[in-house]
Amino acid sequence: MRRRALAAVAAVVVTLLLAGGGVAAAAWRTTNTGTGTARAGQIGTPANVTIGAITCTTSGLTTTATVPVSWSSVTGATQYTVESGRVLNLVQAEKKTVTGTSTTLTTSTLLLNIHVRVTASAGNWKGTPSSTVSKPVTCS
Amino acid sequence: MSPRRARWSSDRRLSWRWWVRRLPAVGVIGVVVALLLGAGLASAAWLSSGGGTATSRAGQALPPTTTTVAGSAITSGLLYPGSSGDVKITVNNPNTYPVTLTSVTANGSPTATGGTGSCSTTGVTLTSGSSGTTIPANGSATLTLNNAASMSSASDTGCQNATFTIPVTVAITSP
Repeated sequence: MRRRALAAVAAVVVTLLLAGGGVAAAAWRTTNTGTGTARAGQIGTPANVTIGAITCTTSGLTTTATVPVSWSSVTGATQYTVESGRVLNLVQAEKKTVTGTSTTLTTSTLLLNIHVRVTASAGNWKGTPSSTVSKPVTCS
Repeated sequence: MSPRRARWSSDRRLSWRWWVRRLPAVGVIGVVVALLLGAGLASAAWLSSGGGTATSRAGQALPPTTTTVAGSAITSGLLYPGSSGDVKITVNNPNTYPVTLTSVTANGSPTATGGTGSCSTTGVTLTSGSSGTTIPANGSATLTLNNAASMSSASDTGCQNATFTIPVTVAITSP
C-alpha cells in the first residue's frame, strides 16, 4: 500500500518536472506588433483590338454578318467587356462580357461601319477602354 | 513485553534492515534529484549555444520590431481582385544574439494609400506568413512572403495601384 502511494507521488513529481521543462522552453518565444506592406496592380488597357474578316450568312431575306474581334490579354483582368455599335462614340452600344481574349459579334446591318472597343475588368476594378476600332460591314 | 523503540532512533537507522526497507524511497529520491540535475544541464547546454548564460539571456530577451517597407520596393507579386500577392516586411532583432522568425500573422485590417481613387474596401487579407529566417544579432532582415496576401473581388476600383499597410504580429525564438 505504502509502495503504491510512493510510486504515485513519484509519477506526479516526474510529470511536473517535464511540464516545467516545456514551459521553460516556450518562454523563449517573444512577439511584437508591426506592419507589412503589399501593393496592388492596375488593370491596363487592352491592346491590339482587331476586327477580323467578316463573314455573312443569309436565311431567307435576312443576311447576318459575323464579326470576329480579338485583343491582347491584360494582366490581372478576369473578364472583358466588348462594346459595339454603329456610331463612333458608341452611345447605346451593345455590351458583351467574355472571359477570353476574343469573341464574335453579329449584326444584320450591312454596308455601315461597326465600331468596337474593349474594357478589361476584375471584380469591381475597371480599366481604361481601348481605342475604338472600326470596319465596314461587308461580306467577304 | 519489551519497550517499543523510537521509530527514528539512531540505533534503528544504523541497522542494515532499516535501509533495505526504505530502498524504494531512496531510489525515488535519487531519480528526482537526477531529473533536476539533468534539466539544469540541458538548459545550460541550450543556452550556451547563443553565447550567454541562462539567467542573463532570459532577462534581456527583447521583442522584435518592424520597419515599414515602401510600396515602391514592391515591383512583383502585385495584388489583383481574386488573386494573391506578396507581402514585404523588415524585421529588426534588438537582441545581442541571432533569432529565428517563426511567424507573421494578421493583427488588424489593412489600410490603403496612393490608389487611383477611393479605397475604403481594400479586400486585402493576410493569409499566412511563416518564415524560419534567421535574423542576425542586432540586425534586420527584409523578407518577401510569397502570396501571403489575398484580395477579394470586393476591392474598390480606386484601390488600383495602392500600397497596403498590413498590421501584423511577428514572433521570434532563439535558435
